[in-house]
Amino acid sequence: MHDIRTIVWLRWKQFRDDLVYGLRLLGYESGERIYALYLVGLLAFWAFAIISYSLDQAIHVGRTISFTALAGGLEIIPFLVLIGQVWVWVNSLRSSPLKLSFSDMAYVATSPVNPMAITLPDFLRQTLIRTLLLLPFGMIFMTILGGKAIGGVNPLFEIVLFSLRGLAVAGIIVIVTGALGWLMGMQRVIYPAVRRVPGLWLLPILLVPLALVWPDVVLFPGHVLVESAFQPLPILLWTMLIGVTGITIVGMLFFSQFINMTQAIDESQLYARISALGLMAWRQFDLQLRLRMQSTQGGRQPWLRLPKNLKGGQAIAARAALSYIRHPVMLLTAAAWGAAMTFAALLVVRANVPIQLVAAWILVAGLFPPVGLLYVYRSDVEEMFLRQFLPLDGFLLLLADALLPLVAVCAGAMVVWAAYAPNPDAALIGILFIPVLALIQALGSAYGAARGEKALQTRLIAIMLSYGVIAVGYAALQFTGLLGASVLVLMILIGLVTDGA
Amino acid sequence: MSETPAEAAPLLSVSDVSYRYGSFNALSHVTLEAEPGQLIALVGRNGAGKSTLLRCIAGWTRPTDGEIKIKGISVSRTERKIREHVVLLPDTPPFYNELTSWEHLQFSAQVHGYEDWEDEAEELLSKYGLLANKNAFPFTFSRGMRYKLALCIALLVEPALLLMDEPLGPLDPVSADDLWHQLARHKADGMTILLSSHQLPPEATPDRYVIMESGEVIAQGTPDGLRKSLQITGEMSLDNLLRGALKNRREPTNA
Repeated sequence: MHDIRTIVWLRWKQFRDDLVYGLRLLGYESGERIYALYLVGLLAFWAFAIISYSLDQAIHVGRTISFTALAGGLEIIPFLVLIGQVWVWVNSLRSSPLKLSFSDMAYVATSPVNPMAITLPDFLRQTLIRTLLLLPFGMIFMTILGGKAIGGVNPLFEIVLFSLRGLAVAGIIVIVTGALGWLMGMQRVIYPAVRRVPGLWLLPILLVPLALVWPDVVLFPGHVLVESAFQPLPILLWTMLIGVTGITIVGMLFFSQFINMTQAIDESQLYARISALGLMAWRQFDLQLRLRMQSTQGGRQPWLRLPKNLKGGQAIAARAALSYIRHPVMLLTAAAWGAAMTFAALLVVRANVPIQLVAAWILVAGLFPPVGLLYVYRSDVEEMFLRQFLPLDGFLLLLADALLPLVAVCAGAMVVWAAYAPNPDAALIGILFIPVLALIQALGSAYGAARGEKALQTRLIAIMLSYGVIAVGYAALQFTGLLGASVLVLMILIGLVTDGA
Repeated sequence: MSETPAEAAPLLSVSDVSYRYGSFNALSHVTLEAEPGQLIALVGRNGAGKSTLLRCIAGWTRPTDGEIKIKGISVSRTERKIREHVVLLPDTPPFYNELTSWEHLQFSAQVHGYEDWEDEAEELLSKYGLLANKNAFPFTFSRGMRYKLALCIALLVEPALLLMDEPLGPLDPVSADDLWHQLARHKADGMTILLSSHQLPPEATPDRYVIMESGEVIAQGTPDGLRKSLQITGEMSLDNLLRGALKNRREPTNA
């Protein structure tokens, strides 16, 4: 118990330091308590305003959305839950969830502290972060459901109550999934032989095909979540959920006593390097991505070679292709991103959903471009040492660097569009315009990256304005407007990127 | 502004260049010239503006005022033709994560359209002690090895003007001495080298020193010229040179 108190105290101090560091970015200086209160008050007001607005919009969407669209959304929830679970378990089996920073390695891992005392606070912290990250999405979704089910003039309070039941179930799923992940992942640092079993991390993926064979069993958590949104769950089910949660946590804590700290240090090297970057790891996500890739690539022999007898732009394109082929996961995620965004766009088109969801689609496209789309381009333009050896202007460099991931995005998008388009004409228009939209995505992101300062804001404005202009063009003049607006937007973006890098 | 014909112009001409970060003058009215085949050492304390000057010359940073010309043609960010003649090696050069050392050299050679570059690349790697690591990824290298690889890449493209920021800092004394001798050979082949440094190997003597303090050039000239003008009586070390220049700046009557 004393060990747990010590580690909790340490984590609290670290959390407070991180918080102060974050506040310092907003102008706070040590000791300025009034200013800290002002900042916290301002952030609380901002969060309240955003949450109120989002919930209000969600209620509106809930009232106007069709039953067909809602039913479609409900059907995919159990699968989304399963995908989330598989993702957590795969990550746990690839690398133990117990992670130590460099200072933890130096002072905690070498001390006689019971490993359980390190595991419990870190598990709770990770669960809390995951819950906080999922909470806004859960609230919005449950409010949409509530808006449909309850209606009324000012039903916000009732709707919040309605959504609490679903959120409680979602919380339990997050805890159980996390605890099972820890239980599995800890085996890597208890029994080192587990680390040497090739492909062990692939096992959870088997649940996906199994979900088609035994949906009632594999998709049980997701089904309970959906059911909880519509009706009170039986006491027996609640008891079972809470019982399973307790047993899993106790099991995890029991096993954590046997953790070998030397193995834990070995497993934590990458985490410690990322953790040492502080907020920079999240402000410049590419930096984190590069560290992760270094860690996977460091021990491997390079495969494939740069082709000989290429020159100039061809050599740059070949180098970019080799970089992506050596990290194929970036191409796969680009294709998956294209497919997912196209599927979402089809839902938007088919269900005739409210304008807020169209805006949300554009916002997501601007905020979260496919990871890896500009991976090579960014190293070229952000590192002047490398840029000085590349005698191409910004646009040609972008084409050479991003050709392969652009093809992957288009391929993923076209497959989904061709399979689900409402009619042959729509299928043709979609296939013609998917490359244009993908190019806008790349150009907007490239302009943000080349400007350096305020890259996120620049990217967001460039992409949202471009899609907005195209949408207005289509609304005003149909196909001619679509074509004209696309050409205009592309010309402007190409000009900006050519000069910008 | 009229351009000087390339044949008559010095290789590098920096005229009255200033650079400001907000209200801070990182460079203030800097003027210097370099001819082909010269090796010039930029000397100064931390924050004197050496790295900023090198970045301005390479076109990585645009000066607030003044003009920089390479072969008589003004450097600006969009004039890639001019920048092909210049390479700047920062103190911690970055590399592509996915390419091995050899592939970095291959890529540079191919992008510049070179043929039959393999022998030269191998010779460079061998000269700088990296041949055994040619198939390794540079992110696994030590800082000194990374600097040497960056130098190999730079030398493969044979720039007319090589700018080096703190080249000797990451190297052990033996490697630093070797590097100096290699640089002397490249200089003899006609390459102009401008390097910033806090330290030079014991026997190393550049053609000229440019001494900077607070963003200004406070003295420049040949070693013999500076010895006289700054009244340096002891060993002609960077330490004595810098102290002499600073003293001369405070008490200009000594000059």
